[in-house]
Amino acid sequence: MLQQALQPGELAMETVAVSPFEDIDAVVAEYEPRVFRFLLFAVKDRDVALELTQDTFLNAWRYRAGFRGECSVATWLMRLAVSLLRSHTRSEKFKFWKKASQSAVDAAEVQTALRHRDSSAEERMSARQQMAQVWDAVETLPQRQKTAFLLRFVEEMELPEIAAAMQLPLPTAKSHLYRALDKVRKQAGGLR
Amino acid sequence: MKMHLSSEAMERLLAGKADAATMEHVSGCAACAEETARMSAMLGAFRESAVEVAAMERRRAVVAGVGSARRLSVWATGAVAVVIAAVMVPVVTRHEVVTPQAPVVANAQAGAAAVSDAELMAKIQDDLASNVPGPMQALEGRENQTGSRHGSSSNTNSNEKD
Repeated sequence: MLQQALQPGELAMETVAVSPFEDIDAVVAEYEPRVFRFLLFAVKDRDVALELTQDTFLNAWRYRAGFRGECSVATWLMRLAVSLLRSHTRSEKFKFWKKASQSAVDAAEVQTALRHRDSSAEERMSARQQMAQVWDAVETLPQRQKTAFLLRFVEEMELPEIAAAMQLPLPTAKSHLYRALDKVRKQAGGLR
Repeated sequence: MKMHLSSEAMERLLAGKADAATMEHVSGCAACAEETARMSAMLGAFRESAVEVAAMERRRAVVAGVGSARRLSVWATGAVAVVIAAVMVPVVTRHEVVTPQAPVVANAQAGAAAVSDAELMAKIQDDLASNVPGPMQALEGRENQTGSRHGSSSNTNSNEKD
């Protein structure tokens, strides 16, 4: 009998797991660029993204006891980030700063950020136009569709992870993602 | 009418998780094959540019954050210096050597103790008595006033009779 063979002390040693958030510095070092990136393109403002990123890790530390390891650390952090993003975009402050911010990400800069590989001028121009189309389409997406799209195609998260991060049922998360992709395809001239 | 790929099928295809039917369709449909290739390239470039811009913006944010922290510390130091100066300058310029007041208090207490309770009560009674008119004084004064008034009125009355 396996249960009889195990001593109580051994069982306790196996079940007690140290939360990865206990070493918050290591978590920040590994995931901060990713969280910042997601928030940057979600709010399109550097200062706001930085503030929300800091709040994300502050909340991760504050609620570290709530992390039970049912999802990955990245998904948990994205969940906190999405939650903060949601409350931020609902606030009146966001509506004001969206219009008046000086640290807003320049759309042209984003569109021309492609590295110039060994390609012709014509190919580079075409790539820029396509990039502009995608970014324009992403900009017009509703917040949830945009979140799903960014998590899937920038952060390369799987659909169950996206659903967990957005705290939505899987079919709802899928629906947001596919609607977003529909719009991007239409903008890019693929879907008719 | 030939059905092309839905966004769900396209997403699965881009994620490398397409089912056999989708793969078969793409292999037989030039439009879907062309769109899949274009979307794949476009979304790859989208991610690449996002990663690059985010890294650049993060560097800017960190630099701006450090700069603002430095500016804040300079302003904070200046503000603290001004407050200290505002407090200390009047203290230094108006500083006078003042002898302790304790002996004065002691003398006052000693003077107060020198007056006995009976004397103090008598003084209070005198003060009160001088401020409040005596019972007869008011009547006497009033009688004189009313007497003169009666006299004049009687004269008036006699004049009227005459």
